[in-house]
Amino acid sequence: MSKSAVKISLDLLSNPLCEQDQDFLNMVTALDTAMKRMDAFNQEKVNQIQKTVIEPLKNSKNGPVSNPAVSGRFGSVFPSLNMAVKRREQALQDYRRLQAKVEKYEEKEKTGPVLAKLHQAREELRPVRDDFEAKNKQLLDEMPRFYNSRLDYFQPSFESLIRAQVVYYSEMHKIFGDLTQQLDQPGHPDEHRERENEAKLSELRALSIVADD
Amino acid sequence: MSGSGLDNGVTTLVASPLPVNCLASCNGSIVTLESPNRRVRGKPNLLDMGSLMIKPIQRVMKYPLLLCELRNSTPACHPDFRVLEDAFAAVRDINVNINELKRRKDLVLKYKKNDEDESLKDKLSKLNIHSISKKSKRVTNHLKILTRGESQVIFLLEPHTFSWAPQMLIAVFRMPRVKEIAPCCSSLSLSSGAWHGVSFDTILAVVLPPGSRPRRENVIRTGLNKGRPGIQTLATSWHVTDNTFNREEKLFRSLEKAVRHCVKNISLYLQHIQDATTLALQSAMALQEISCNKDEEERGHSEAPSDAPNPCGDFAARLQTLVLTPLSALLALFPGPRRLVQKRYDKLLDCGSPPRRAGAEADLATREYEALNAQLGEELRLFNRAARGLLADCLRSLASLLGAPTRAAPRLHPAARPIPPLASNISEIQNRVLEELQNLNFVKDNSATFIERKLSFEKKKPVQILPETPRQTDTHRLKLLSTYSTEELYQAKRRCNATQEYDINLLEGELVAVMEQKDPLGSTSRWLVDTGLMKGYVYSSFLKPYNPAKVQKADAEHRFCDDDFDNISLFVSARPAHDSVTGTPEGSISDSSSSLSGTCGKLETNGTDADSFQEVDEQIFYAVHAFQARSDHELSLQEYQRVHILRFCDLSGNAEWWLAEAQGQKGYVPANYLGKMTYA
Repeated sequence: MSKSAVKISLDLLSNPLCEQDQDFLNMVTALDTAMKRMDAFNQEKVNQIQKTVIEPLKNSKNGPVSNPAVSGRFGSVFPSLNMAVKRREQALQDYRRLQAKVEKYEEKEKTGPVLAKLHQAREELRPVRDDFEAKNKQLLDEMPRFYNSRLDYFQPSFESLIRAQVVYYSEMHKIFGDLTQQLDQPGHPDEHRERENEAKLSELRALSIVADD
Repeated sequence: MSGSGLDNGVTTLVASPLPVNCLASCNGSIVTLESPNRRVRGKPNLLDMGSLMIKPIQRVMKYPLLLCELRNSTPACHPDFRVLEDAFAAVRDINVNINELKRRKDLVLKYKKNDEDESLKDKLSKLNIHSISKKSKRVTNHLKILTRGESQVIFLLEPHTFSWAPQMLIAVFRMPRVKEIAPCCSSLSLSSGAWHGVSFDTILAVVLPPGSRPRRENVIRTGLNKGRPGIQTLATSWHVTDNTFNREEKLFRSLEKAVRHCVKNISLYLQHIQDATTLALQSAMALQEISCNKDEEERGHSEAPSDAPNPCGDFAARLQTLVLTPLSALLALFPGPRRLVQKRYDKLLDCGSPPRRAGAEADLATREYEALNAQLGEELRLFNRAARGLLADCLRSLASLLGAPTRAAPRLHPAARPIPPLASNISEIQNRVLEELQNLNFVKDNSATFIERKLSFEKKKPVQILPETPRQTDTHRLKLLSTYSTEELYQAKRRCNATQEYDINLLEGELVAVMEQKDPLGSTSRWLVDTGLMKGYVYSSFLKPYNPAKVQKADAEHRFCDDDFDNISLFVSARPAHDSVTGTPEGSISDSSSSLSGTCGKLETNGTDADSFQEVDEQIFYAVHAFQARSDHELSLQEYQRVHILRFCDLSGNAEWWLAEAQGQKGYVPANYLGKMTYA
């Protein structure tokens, strides 16, 4: 966005009009300086935001880590979470399967081999059930904690985002205030300007060489 | 008679445009005007506004006739005769000027019509011999000008032509080799009134004093046409340049370029700003969603951007009306004059064509050119001035508008003003939070597998095995050897993986001592074995009797040719130390690595024990390659030199370097230079 602004003034500056008219040249140079400064500040703001807001949220493992125990950034927790949920699903499937088997044996008549199989099935079921319940409980417990920690995580980033924007906008305010003082008569209401423009345009249209269409 | 005053008055009257549609609208309103006139009887020729307004001009045109009559009837000796003559001349001038102005306007009107409206068929129908020849002549002249190959000749003036209409005076420029100017010529002074603003830089035409005949020495000599009198009107070709016009034209063109660029760039900028604010708004809303059930502070921050589209929309609208619309309108005005400029150039080229067959046509072209030149020159100047003013105004408006959104911003975010000082390090805070997260079990469990899968793509296969169980080391073998008798010792033929409960893993060549040759369920295919490290079951088919003498060679050969297992069996004792200390950052291995570091510690302590076992063959390695020590910590080795290994890792825990002793000297040697030599 600021690149296109710089282009405005750059093109004007390179125009031969500037050579002929000193006032015009001054005006365009002032505009150009302002645009370039705006561009510089914008770039700075973008860098700052990139560093403090975007990077920490990504899923990368090579963010700046001062602590080797912390790998990756916030975004990299999500794959683990997904994996955990998937495992719980699998455990649930196993549990259901074995549960169904146990029930099937329970419904049959209680003969010897059936009883033995029933017993065995129950034995198999028990660890699976425990496993599932453990996973379930773990997820139930930890997911809310994870969710709640997101704000703590983001708070500093958010602060830095706002700070960067405030700095940028106050700089812009200053720059363009100076520019307006320099170039323009401030305080001209819009209608006044519009009227002046219209007057010039009609003067131009009055010339005979201009096509009236 | 104030001829010039009247002249000016008339020219202004004629110069004010009376477009036809204006007349038409006036005619509509003439009804009320006519009714009082109807009362005036005897005025039948009061038909419409046009005829009403042309009356003053018609009167002016009648004056020459009147004056002429008067003059003719006045005897020459009458004191008024002179005055009459002057008056007559002045009024005739006026008429000529009126005609001229009208002609120019008509010319301009004729040529500025929009050529693009013509269809191809119309254009083709206009093609005929005449137009083709005209166009081809123009092209040749243009090329001539470009190549500047032609000589340039002066056009001499007859003095009496000066009082004629201005188009008879042609001045020639760009005479690069003017040697001298004939002394008797006087430079021409121009009165701008007669020339309508067209000024010439250098008049190289000689104005002869009245009454004299043009003489040879009055000709301005140029290097090109020495000797050619050129008294005739035109020689081969000549070029007319009008510097003022060129300047204006250049200004015109650069103005056009500037306005065009401005329009393009400013609209692009506006587009970008609108895109940016839309995106910002979206991200603000997303943030709001994330933080929606949290404290008010967050929401306060996120609400402010909801006002953001309004300032942007406002900004866009103002930019549009104050800057873009006028500039676009200005841009639309440029093509008309541009066409006329082009036409003038065409006429100029026409004039350059050889007028030998001088006649009406050449004169017509010249006159047209002159007319266009004059008209364009003046109006172009006005145009440029007004356009430049408009451009400057628009730029000023742009400058003040750009500041507007930034002025609005502080008003909308008063809450943001007292920004708390930034916490010293964002990354510290975030790392802290992340650590807490890592402590969550699901992260620990699941990121581990994630990483393990990644590691499997890497070629360090031994690492894959390691997180599981520690491997047998030589000390364990020693222990086994010392504990059990030979017939109880078996060796694993190949790698076996634990499949059932109480199974253990074995690598190839590992030494085991069989404690029982059956398993709890009674089958004899599984044996309880002791690896020195642990006890467990393996299938007996994996085991073969341990024969020190026979096995040694086979083992040695086997080890040389198979690199992977070489690594595993020889250096497996070093690996655990390596991994625990370099510490892969993934926390999941921490469990196994802690046990591994325990192993290493055990190894360290056992290393000292091993010292006492120096003469035991298992500690003897030999150098597969020669090694040159680079410092006094290192030990030089010759090929096939035997060394005793004191430590299987160096002081910092690096398992690539082993502390070796040979011929009474101790030093570190690279582990991969060593091959195991047993029972030498």
